[in-house]
Amino acid sequence: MIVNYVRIENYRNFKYFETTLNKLAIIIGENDSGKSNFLHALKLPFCSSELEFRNKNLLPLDFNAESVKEFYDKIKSGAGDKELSDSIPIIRVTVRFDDIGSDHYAKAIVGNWIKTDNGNIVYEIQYNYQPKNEKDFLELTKKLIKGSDANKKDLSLLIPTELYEYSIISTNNFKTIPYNDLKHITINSINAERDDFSESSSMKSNSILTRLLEKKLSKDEKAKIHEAYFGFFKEIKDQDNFKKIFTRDVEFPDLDRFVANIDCIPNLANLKNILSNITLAYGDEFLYQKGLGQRNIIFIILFFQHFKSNKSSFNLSFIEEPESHLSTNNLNLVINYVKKSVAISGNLFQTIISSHSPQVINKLEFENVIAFSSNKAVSFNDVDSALVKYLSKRPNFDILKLLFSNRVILVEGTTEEMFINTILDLDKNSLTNIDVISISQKGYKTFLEIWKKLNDGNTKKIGVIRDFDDQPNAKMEHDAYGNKKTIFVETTKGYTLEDDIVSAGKNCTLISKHFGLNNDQQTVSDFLKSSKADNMFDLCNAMQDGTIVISIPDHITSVLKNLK
Amino acid sequence: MIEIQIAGAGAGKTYNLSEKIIQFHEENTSHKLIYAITYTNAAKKKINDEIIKRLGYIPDKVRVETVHSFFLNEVIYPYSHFTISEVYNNAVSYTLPTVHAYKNKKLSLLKQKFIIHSESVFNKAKMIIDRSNSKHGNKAKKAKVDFVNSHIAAKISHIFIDEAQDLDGDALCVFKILGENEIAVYMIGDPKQAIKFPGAFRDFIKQSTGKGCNVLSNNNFTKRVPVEILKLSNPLCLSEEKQTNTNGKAGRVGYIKSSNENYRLIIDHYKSLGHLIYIEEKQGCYDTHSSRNLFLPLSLEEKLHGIAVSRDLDGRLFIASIISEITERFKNSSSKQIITWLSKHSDLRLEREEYAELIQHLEQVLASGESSKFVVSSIEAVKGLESEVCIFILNQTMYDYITQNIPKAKHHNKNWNKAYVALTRSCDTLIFVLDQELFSRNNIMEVEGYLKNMGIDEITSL
Repeated sequence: MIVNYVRIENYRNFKYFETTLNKLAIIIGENDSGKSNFLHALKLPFCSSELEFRNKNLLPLDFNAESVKEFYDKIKSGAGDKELSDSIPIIRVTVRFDDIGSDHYAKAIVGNWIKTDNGNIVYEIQYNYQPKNEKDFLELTKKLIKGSDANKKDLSLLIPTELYEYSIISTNNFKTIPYNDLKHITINSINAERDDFSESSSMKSNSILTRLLEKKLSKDEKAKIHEAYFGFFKEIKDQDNFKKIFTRDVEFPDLDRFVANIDCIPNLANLKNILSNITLAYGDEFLYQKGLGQRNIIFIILFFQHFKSNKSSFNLSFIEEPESHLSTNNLNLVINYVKKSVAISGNLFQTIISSHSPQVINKLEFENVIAFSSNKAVSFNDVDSALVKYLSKRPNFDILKLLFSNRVILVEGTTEEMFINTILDLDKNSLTNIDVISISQKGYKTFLEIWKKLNDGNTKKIGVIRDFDDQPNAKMEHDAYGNKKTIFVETTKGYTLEDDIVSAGKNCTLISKHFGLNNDQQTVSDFLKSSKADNMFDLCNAMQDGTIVISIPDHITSVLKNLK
Repeated sequence: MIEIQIAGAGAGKTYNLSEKIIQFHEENTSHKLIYAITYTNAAKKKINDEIIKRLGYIPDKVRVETVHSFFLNEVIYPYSHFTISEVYNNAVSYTLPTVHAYKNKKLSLLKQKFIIHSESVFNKAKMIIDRSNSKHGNKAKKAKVDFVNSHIAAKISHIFIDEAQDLDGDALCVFKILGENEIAVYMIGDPKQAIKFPGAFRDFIKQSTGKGCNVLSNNNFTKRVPVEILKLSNPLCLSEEKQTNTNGKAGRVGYIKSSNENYRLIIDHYKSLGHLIYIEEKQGCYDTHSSRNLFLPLSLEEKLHGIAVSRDLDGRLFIASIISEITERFKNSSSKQIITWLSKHSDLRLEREEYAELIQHLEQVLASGESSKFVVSSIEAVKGLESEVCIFILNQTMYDYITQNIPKAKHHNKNWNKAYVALTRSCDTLIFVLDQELFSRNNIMEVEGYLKNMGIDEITSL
């Protein structure tokens, strides 16, 4: 069983946002694209976690600014109540479950929420945050806006959330879901701001770890801890000097009856308090003394372990940036752990990871990626499986750069990469922010497809510099991708880049002279192509220290110009 | 799987039921629920109490609900949209207008608000899970019904139904379908006490043949009904359902006359002790509790509900508090004064028809409150209950049935069963009341004669 669809309306940066999810979903996106907000929104329709209490009543600033502005503009323009009613800012988070299979337990959990949508069977619930009474709300907001300037930036603060109430309903009958049913679907998360070890002056164990501990202890063990605590306290009491505080004063026997009633009782009797005053050790040291990375790993492992084996309720685990503070070895370990845990986990477990690390993405498989960009979610579920395999074998391939860079050029291989980077370096007139990525034998088309999917409609640009290789058909197919606005495809005139370099301007002469070769295009071109990238490397060095001034082949100039 | 058990009055149904529930609960290792279903809240409380007596608590996986609540929460609310494209999320149970056209109008108004009326619950539940219903005309729709049944079976393992004789054909059919779909269904009931739907349970039992259906042998033992009373009630039983007393108590039967000078004192005395006093229905100088109930017109209730919500109060509690306050005010206010108070207290603006309807109703209730009538229970209200001393106020109809002075066609009908219920409430003493006003054909002396012949004497010392 998994959550396979989420729709968020009017919450923080999301006006209308929907996405699909898998059993393991990897969320990528630039900073500020709403990844954390997505997590917060997702928590709303689920049961408050056993580890943290969640306030499901939202604040004025949780409303999407655009929807608030639209509403107030309508009021200012004097729209009628019916029209106003339709644009009251209401926050909704809709969630659908799928992959129930024949598991009776899963069926029992979601059964009551069954409905049909476009002929398909879905199980859907929804979190709503809306005014209790529309009439009163409209009355009050009209009054509030009367005396204010609609161009104010923080209009959201004018929303009277005291008139709002939340409900979690089943959308097949709009009935509130009782706690007894909701408690079977839970969501737990490890946030990006991991722990407060370093902040906490008392150096106590992290509160979530405390609660994990509490859950794991059996009744007997808890009883023993209590016993031990009281025993410990009793020993203190039995110290002679301790007792002396409460002795009778022989000169005032009347006070005896007061003194007799005074006694010490243990504070901190609550198990949670006892446990939270335990600090975790790691090896010979305290865990809080260990580095952030170390603490991070332990935290992730404990957390994951606890939830993946939970059989009594469905658990959605959200881990923000597992790669935080981790060294290469530990990162590998964590990625592997997550991958294998997900593979063997039962039917009631789903994981969402948000990440900025190409390694995490490539190893956990690109088809699980969902990219957040310009307030929409792009799923790569249906991407070519050959690409998925390619990326998983090239974990260092910077897929994020390709997807998110403002200006990116795709090239065939290392030699092209070096050459173009050198050219960019030499351009003293402008600062470039162009990323050059070599795709080493993998086809351009696949990459162009995914780039298009994500960046369709925004202002990012991509350039493709490819070799002709005597394939006119291929050239035509690739040229078709060019759209003169954001995608620019150029092919060499000659067979490969080396041929075009050699035939441009006086390059042949200059290069043959520099390397002591015969001054003919074939030789020079072969020279550059031979010994892998070494010769190109030498050429680039010569270009960089000014020894040679190379004319840039036309197709490269064209791409660079278009990308500026 | 369906198992059906017939058990007469006082057979200890509740006790046996809770025993079975606890047994299956202890064997249950899965997540599935065990449901115990009854007809009334009072019966629900009885089972709850019995389980608590034996376990000390009600286990999480054991749910005790009324039939309506079960059908609504497990069948109608979740699945009506999916199978028959109707949405319901709430139910009401106030009396609907009797005129057909008005009633239908009301029902469709309710439907627009996603509210179902309790009298439609049995029928609607059947419609949803019965694949042979005409609403599921094609293969795809039947597949949906099957899918829904698989969901219900994934959640519930056992259903125990108490007082199965209070269910109608539709409800019984629903349980049959659930039983055919992997849920273990146990029904226990007494066809002799079927007052609402006299023939339904019996017919159901007759049709329950075939595999998966097991009709157990009758339990004709009674721990409650003493020997002397059985002499009166057994003649009303089919031969295979005649009862025998297990604790050897003789009990006694007697009668008093309403013309007795201490009559009112006697009635009040037994009422104050909490014993059951009942009559077939409101008649003569006897009112039944239900006929005195105060309720508010529907549109008024809706308005009050809205007002409650705007004040951040719970709708139902608000209305209940108003009703209880009106009842209090009846002691020293007129209907007009009550309405004035109501408007002020709840900021209520009444339309003309609402005002008229309300004042008429209040006058009615006020009138009945002022009368010197006796307020007793109806037989239907005391079904399932018992007390040491029971006072049965005889009327013509009940007398005819007890003496079996009725055509064969009327045997085992509603009134026949009412008579059986009325006779079997007491675990020690049964007292008949003879009130001439309630007899249209027979003279009280004839009735006295009949009773004396049966060995039943007038009770003089109380």
